[in-house]
Amino acid sequence: MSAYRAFLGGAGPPLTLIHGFGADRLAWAALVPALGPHATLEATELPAHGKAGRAPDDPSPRGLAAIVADAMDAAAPRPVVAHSLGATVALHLAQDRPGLVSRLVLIAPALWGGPLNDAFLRGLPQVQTGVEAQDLLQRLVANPRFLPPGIGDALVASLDAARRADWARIADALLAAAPPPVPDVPVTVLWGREDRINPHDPDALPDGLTATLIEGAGHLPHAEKSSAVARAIKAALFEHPPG
Amino acid sequence: MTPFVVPQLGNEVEEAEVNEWLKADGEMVEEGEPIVNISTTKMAMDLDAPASGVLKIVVEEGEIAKVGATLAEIG
Repeated sequence: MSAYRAFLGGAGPPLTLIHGFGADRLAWAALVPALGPHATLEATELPAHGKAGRAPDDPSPRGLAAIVADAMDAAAPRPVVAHSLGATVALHLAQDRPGLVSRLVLIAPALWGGPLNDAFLRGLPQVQTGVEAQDLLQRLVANPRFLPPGIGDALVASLDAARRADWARIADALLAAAPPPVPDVPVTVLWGREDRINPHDPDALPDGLTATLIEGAGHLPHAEKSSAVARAIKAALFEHPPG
Repeated sequence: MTPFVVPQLGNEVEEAEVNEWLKADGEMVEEGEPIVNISTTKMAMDLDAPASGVLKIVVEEGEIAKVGATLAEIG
């Protein structure tokens, strides 16, 4: 069991990126041009995703955070940008490993929104055909042009029995988990207004937090509205006084 | 003319496919507005115009372009 750390590009102080359920390090491609001039971009892949190893015995967001902490190998606190399940993992990371995270930008953090899309989370590990996968993945986006043609076939081809089993365990653990705590670091929350996987619900956010809504985006605003998301990340991380 | 190129999308991404031009060849575009949708194997994204001017498309829809290749010129 392990996470996997990949250098995406860029130059400057380190910035860690943590993807969501079923994604991998390449999910951040659209942000690289805008963030690369400001930071060295390191994508950490969650266990059972991308090039990472198997899921741990505890596949809950908190259990995944313990594995991710080891993979980050951070010498000093650094900002983290994270999406959906990855955002929930990042919240536990900041809470359980003080000194590892300096600031959080969370995109549609799971368990801080409305009810998670159970059919998506439980269905993705079970998909058998490219058509079936493409149909499920369509729910991620507000506009179908942001889903690459053939991604359903690619997903099915990438899923062996071990990965399917790990994804099912991770999905079950996420659906059973309690909302993550609010850590003692600055938190910025972004959300696609048309999110159908993890819908925005202002009443579900912890007191004192509000989300910046990204118009015209579903669950993947960092792809669908990458310019708007990049601007918000830069404002939170690079144009904000240290603290 | 301002070249409009495929930007760096990460160390492992070498090329992208042009899915859809959101503006037509010869049309006026404004700096910062999305003008093309491209995709890698895992993600599709819009790219914004780097300048205002008339769009001259170089790479057509359905074609593959390397990172750094000129997709269009704007002027």
